Amino acid sequence: MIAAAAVVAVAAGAIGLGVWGVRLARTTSDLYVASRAITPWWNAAAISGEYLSAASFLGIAGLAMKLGASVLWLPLGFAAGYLALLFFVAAPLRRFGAYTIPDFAEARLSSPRVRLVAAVVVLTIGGFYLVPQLKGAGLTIGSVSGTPYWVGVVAVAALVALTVALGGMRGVTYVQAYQYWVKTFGIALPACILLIHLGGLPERAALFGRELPRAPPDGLVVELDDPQRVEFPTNAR
Amino acid sequence: MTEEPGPARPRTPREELAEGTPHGDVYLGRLIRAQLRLSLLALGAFGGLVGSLPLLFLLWPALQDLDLLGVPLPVLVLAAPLFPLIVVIGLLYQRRADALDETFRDVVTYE
Repeated sequence: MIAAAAVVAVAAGAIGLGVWGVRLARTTSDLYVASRAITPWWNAAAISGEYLSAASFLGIAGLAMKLGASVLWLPLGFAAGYLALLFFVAAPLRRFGAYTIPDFAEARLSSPRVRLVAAVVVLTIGGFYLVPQLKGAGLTIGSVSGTPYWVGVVAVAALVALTVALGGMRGVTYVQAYQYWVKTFGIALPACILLIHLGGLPERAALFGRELPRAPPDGLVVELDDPQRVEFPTNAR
Repeated sequence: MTEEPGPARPRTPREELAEGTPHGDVYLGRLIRAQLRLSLLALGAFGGLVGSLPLLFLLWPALQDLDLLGVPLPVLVLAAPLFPLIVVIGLLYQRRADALDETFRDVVTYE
């Protein structure tokens, strides 16, 4: 019940910010780049909010549980992607004065067909990106409120579409920045509690990357009221 | 096309650019190529540094068993210093790219 209320509260905050962002989204420049009025710190928070997606947060945690510490290469790959984005997309687009990759492709190569190809590529990548996000949304909302899987998918998709349509880049930036702080708190707090609870950093960290913690077949329940011991089997592989 | 043809005043680079003459295209092409070279260099530097890590651990397996502050070295290397490396390379790239733009601006506004 508390979990469902928290989801509703966070979603309401996101919609509120999206609607608040509507005030300025009137021109093309507003819609795509918020008239270049976003300061670097807001933008950094927004991009980091993007980074802490369902796929990178829930997905990496799950994969690390399943495959071990080598999964830490994956988030590094996500982050390195921003470097490639800076070198080959953000800097050229800004220098050129284009808003979107299809705009840039058409103007630079003066070919409407290239524009179409660029648009198809962008939409294809976006589509694949959405699959794990919406999967995460469906699973998370389903597990906190007991609704069927598709309800979470539809609700989150509608919420995102609404904030983008209403506020443009300005609304998206504020919503993402807000979600960044919510998610950072949501990740850091349980991590700190678990570390303190399980005996502190050095003891656990020594095991991390060597052996995998295993849950019993009926799931692992950690009660936060009194100290628990989690067994790390010696021959995990 | 009512201008008097002939060797009147030489056009400035800025006018060449604005009119899109072949001469102006040379200026612009040089800037675009310099920026692309810089991007490729920065990507190569990052890829080389990060890509050599698995090779290092493969060639010296003893490194894999090394513990630092109670954490296995391969995990520590992945978790801590590579993210700041991304920031540093991004900053260096940004500085160099701005300098290239500045040089270009100086060339075309000269005179």
